Amino acid sequence: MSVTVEWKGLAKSYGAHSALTHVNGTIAGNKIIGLLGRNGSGKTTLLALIKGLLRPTSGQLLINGQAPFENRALAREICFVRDSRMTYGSFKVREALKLASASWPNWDHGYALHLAERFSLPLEKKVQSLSLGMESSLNAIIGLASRAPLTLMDETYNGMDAPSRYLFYEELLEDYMRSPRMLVLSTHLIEEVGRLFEEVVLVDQGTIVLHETTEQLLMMTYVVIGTAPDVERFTDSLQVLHTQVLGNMKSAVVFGELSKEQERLADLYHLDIQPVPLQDIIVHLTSRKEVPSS
Amino acid sequence: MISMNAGPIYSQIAQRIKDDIVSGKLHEEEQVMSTNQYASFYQINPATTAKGFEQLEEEGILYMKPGIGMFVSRNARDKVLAERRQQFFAKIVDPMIEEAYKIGMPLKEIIARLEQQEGAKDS
Amino acid sequence: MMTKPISPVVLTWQILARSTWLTFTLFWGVSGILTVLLLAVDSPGIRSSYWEQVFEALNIYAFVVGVRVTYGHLTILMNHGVTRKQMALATLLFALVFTLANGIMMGIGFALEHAAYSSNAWQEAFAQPHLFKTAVDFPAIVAEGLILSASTFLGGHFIATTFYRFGKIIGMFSIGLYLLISFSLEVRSYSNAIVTFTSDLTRKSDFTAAEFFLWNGGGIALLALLIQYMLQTTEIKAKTR
Repeated sequence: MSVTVEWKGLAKSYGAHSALTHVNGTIAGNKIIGLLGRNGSGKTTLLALIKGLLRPTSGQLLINGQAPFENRALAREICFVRDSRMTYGSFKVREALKLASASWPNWDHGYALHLAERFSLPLEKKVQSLSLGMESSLNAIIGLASRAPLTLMDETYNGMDAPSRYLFYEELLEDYMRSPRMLVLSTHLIEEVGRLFEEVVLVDQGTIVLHETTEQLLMMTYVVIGTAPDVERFTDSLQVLHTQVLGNMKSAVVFGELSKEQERLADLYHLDIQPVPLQDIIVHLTSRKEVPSS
Repeated sequence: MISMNAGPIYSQIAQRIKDDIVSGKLHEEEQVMSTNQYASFYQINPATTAKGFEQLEEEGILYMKPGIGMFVSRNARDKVLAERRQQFFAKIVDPMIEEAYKIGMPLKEIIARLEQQEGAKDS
Repeated sequence: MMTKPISPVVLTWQILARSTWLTFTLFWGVSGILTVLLLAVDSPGIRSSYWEQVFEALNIYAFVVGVRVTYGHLTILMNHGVTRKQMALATLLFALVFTLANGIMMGIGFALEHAAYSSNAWQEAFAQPHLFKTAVDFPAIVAEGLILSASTFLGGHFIATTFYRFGKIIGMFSIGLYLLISFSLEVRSYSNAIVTFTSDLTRKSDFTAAEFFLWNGGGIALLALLIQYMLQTTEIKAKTR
């Protein structure tokens, strides 16, 4: 089963507070997708809507053409993991895994136990008494072993130490290649995990501001460095995300593909053209107050 | 390694394979690792690797044996070498000359150095 | 190693049963022990049934179990692919088994107490009017225990679901509404903080069995409908911590 998630003018508000507005777009296919954005930008609300925990205030959210809220068929196709220690009551880790095994049609219990061992997760400990990092490990295990056609992971790295995080990334990639499916990960650690994303969806101030393949995004963002007047002449009609001035030197982060003509021009002005790290691109795209017009 | 700070990852992958062909780590008619193996090794998305392979296929560096995998083309090394030679002046020599002008180094000195190097290699 | 998933309704039933069996055992164990102790201490002056008092405690216990259904299970079940409808159906099945078990425990208690009273030639009497006239009328005792605990279970479930669905302010109103439903049947003095329409009605000296089933059945049906409506439209809070 390949999944298509479609947003049509989706909005969600909590009373007077608007969490999401004018959300439009589609994500489709068996891909690892990064859901990026600042805290409070609406990422978790978007995921909770996809899982069918919340109801849209207006607009539509369709998964393979169906609304997920109270949808019996979709309920077991979508696995959403997030920090949820408090909801497990008196469950031990072993019981939490057993509950998951009874819930997810594609659950692989052998793999879950293998992961528990790799993450050194104590099976007989109560979920409530796990450290934040251990809880994240449990969530990562459930998300991966569920093999759900649509798996949503909300910052499933909180409190994990670096070795555990890299173990998670490694397992995520391996398991995705074994069982291709749609995996949506919300994260702030773009530098660590960005290379695993085929596509990124950027949420800012309650709406999706960008949806692009990671490669395309890397290609269409670059920084020009040179003397201030030259850089200004070069970027005159381009969309600039960020500028920095040092003495008479200036650097400008440009959003938009570099054409052959521009390349020639840069050569002419003796401008240095450099790639921009994904993390920086995301920061530049979400730190401004409004979209600068070209 | 593959870097998130050095532009598109797929072109880094393509570059790496070309490097291996030039240095002789990869021979002509030799099978290259699968996209999944590459993805696993460099911890990158397999679709990205596939895109790098695609580019190399278009350039005629790699070719697909259906049901088996990707192989290095018969004249891949010559192609890569020709490309590198073509880029040599633009990428290496021209910036060097520019730098020499900047720091006031006479070109004669550079030529002398080059001749000296050639002499050393010959002997 | 693949495992077969369990039907969401069965799964929910199992989870509810899992989190209740311990308190169920404790409640009836402690009630039994206390009754035996009281009978032993008070044996010379026995005037009426001690086991009858368990009805009051049962009301509170069933109320708490009702509250726990929503607050202890809704989030985890939704997260595990159970729909609100499936959860409601499973809760109904659970409530049937739970309240029937309570009724049976009441019946067994009265039967044992009756045996003790007979062998000691104690005077057997009830402080309150009941559906049953004697301690050996097992079916009537089970029916009363079932209906009493069902009404308080649903009361707890109703108030908790209102709090969950609409927040604190409307939640407070639900307590008022619940008490109103109770007292509209018959306003009498009450001693407990949690007073059910059933426990009040049973204090009325001249009610008939038909009246009892009609009023209680109506109250239970009304609560069940309100819970259904709220549950079907409730949203699971994004932050659990």
